[in-house]
Amino acid sequence: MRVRVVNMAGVDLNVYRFDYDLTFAALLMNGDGTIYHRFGTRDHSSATSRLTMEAFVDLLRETLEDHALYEKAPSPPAPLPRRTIEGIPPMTRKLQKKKIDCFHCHMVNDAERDLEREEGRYSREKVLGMWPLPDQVGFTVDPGKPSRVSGVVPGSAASKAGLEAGDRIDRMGTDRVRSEADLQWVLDNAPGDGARIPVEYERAGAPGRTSLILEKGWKTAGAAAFSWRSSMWGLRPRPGFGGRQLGKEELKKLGLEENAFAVKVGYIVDWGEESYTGKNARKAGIQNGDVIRSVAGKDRFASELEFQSWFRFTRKAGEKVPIEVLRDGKRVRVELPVLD
Amino acid sequence: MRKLQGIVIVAVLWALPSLAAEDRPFDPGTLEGGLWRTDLEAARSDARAARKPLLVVFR
Repeated sequence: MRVRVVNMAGVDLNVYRFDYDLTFAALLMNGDGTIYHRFGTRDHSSATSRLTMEAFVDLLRETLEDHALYEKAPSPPAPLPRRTIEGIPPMTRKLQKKKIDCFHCHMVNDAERDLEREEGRYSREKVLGMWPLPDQVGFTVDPGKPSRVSGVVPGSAASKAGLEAGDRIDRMGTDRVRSEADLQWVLDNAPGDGARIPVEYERAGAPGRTSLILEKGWKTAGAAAFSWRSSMWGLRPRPGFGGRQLGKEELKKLGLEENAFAVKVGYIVDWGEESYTGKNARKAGIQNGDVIRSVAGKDRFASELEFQSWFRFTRKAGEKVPIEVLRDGKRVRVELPVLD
Repeated sequence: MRKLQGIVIVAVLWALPSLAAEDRPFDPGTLEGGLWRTDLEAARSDARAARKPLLVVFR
């Protein structure tokens, strides 16, 4: 049975749990609420590089086998109270002021972050640790056969556990894993202050068992890794402006090196509840058309998105951030007070 | 993006008997209609009653 969901309105978040920042996600499940597998993974480099049709087709077939096995001895999960995006208190209050017809998946994360802030539970480290990729523990998987290890980083937790390229991961924790999203599910549920995750694998036809020993802080990826997420934009503090990285020819005209960080300010926020951040940026001296060259002394960002993510995860309300811009061929220095 | 659309199209061709379908034909350009249910909880309930696995695509 197939169903496509294009709007998160009314979706029970305690049943349908996946990485809500994805623009494509699939759950393969039993009608009793048991999730067999998840599919849908991305990183900051590309929305599709970790997805293949081959892997998805294999997963569909394998799920039929898992379903047949499960149906022999079903064990439905204990029912949880229904939880919807409309019921998350900050969203409930927003809906009292204006109607929202379409709830995008990432809006679930936005609402939950708002709630965490209200309740004093917001943690940058926790947010940065969302849905860790297996890379975070030192191994990569083949996008065509995502339970197959394609590489292991020397000295990493995966390496210390003895995993090798070519191993097929069968189980992690208590879960049968067949996709990269399945691996992420296990890692997402493991504590960030240290964990021991049992792994069952197959190597050259023989079964093996080991454990991933994860140290405190293992989960926290860098701001760059978070930059692709739509929910990144909802995090605070914010610079109040943004734009686009200049292209090669534009950099050349300005006498800048080919990979120089140079973001031309294309907008200063003047809309909605966040307009105060734009007012703050204008007051500090940021102008449309300025080319941002460095922020707090940092002049190396892979993209404008990484800059936006980095700002949200590293700057603190109350500090003053020096920003160097190019304006009409001259270097100008401004100081941006950071607001919450 | 084409890869994602391809994946979803493959999902449509998944070898399961269709228990219910939209009245309008499937449009591969928009991925609307055809073999996709749109009522999540009704589909889940039917899947449970029929003892069939459920594929839920969020896109």
